Amino acid sequence: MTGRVWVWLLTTLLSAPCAAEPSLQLSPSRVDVDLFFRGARLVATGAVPKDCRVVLKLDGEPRAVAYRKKERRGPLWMSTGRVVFDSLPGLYAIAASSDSSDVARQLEAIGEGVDALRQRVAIEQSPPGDDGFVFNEFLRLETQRGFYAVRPESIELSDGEGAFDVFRTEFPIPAAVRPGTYRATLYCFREHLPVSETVRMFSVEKTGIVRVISNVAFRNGGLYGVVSVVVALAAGLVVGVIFRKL
Amino acid sequence: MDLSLYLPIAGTSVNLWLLLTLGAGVGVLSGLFGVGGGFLLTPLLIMIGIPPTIAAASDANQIVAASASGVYAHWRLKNVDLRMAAVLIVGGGAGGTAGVQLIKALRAVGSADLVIHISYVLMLASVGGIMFVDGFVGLRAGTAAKAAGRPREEFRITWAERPLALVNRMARVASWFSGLNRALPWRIRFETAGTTMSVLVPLSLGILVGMLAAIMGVGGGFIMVPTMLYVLKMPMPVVVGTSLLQVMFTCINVTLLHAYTNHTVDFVLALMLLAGSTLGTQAGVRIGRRLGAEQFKMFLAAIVLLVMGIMLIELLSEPPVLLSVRGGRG
Repeated sequence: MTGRVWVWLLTTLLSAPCAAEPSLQLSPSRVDVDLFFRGARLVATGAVPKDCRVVLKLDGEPRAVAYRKKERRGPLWMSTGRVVFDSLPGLYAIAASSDSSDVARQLEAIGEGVDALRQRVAIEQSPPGDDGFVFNEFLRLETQRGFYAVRPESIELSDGEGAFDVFRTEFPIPAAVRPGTYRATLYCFREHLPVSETVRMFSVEKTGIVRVISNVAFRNGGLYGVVSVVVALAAGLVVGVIFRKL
Repeated sequence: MDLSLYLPIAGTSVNLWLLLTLGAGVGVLSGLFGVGGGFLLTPLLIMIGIPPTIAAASDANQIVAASASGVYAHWRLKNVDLRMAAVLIVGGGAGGTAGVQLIKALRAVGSADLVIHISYVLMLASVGGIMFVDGFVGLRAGTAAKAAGRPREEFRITWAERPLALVNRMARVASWFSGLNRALPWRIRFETAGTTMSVLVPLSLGILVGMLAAIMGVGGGFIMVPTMLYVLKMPMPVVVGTSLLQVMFTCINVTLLHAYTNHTVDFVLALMLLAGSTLGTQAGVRIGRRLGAEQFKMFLAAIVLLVMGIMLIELLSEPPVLLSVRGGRG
């Protein structure tokens, strides 16, 4: 019963006409992965009504991700099997204006954050093992690689025009980012309750020579293999001949 | 200058100078010892963040270039025994196929990883250990002979006669082996290698090495070189030249297979590595000409033992994170 009341309350609040609509802009809206790509910085700017607290979430489409699992066997550490996490976003970054305890409450209210992901994900292990432990290892690994981050107090709101506060924050996009469509969602909170949700999409795309090479490699593996071998043989022989003349 | 390149198949960005340096280092080993260097470079690439399957496949592609460069240089120095290389390639191909089946069977039982790691460490330890002792004994004998002004052979025997001397045991194995060799049919002359033996000998060695190489996921040059040196008794320069030809064929095969079936060859990665390694190989061939046989053995032994040490430490110490990424993100 309480649940229903909450849902009703939330929908009412969310659908209530807002006198001041928040805005969100992303720059760039398309991240080009070319030969010299070494990661990017996504700049998010926007404006929110003055009395709002802000949570900005960046996430990729959920998909199944496989990892190798390492375990101790006697005195040795080695890969012992695989773990598949079903429907986890490849990138998950949260920036917020509040401190960490407030952010935890805000994330709980919108069903986001690491704990929500833990509830949502289905873990398949072979051989079977402790799912909680494996999820923690997953978090550690992806945090290290720059794909998972929750950063409280990383958005500073400053006075804007009229009834608005403005903000600007940056998200590092690691070089190993998977090409695809990503989503930035701006949540505004009042009293720990979400009052609005603004969504902007951005894409990561391979371009130029990187795109050509990937396309040939995946669509025409035979030709790609022959070209790779021929280029390698030619390079080896050419260097050999050059050195002979030196 | 900090210049990074994005690798289209690995789906990540790596420092260009790091790749060139790694390639050059492995190229020197290749030209010097006739090994592909996969046993060294693949783990290094994994360490800098390249997914394992892509590291192994792109490394094979790179070795094609380095070995082609080395084969050309050794060909001109008349160090390639074509007949021997052909027999080894045939044997290696058959052994490789058998090895892949063996791994499949072990996977089904669930102990593939353990077998691979332990056989790798044991193999490296014994190959490195034997070469090191042999090189050391030879070097000491040479120095002692020079000091006394007597023939070097006298001193070599003194060292080898010591109880439990590994070299002494190996000499016994070698003489047993040459007896066996004389008894086998289909003897042919390997002109450049300067030996006559039954074709079954290099063929079965090729099969054995091919099998080990497939199990351990490497080209097998570092097993083939000591085998040719100690068991087939081939002269050192011919060992290097012949091994490089065999390595080249193995890696052409591996590159084509990986590109066609697994899409794991990263052309940009291979290109950067081979830019370094083809130059490194030429340097290696030139250094090799100035290096004595004993120094050569000690040097290779030291590298093999170093790799073994790193692998052993990796096996015994707890990794910082107990999960690792499989395959590419691209």
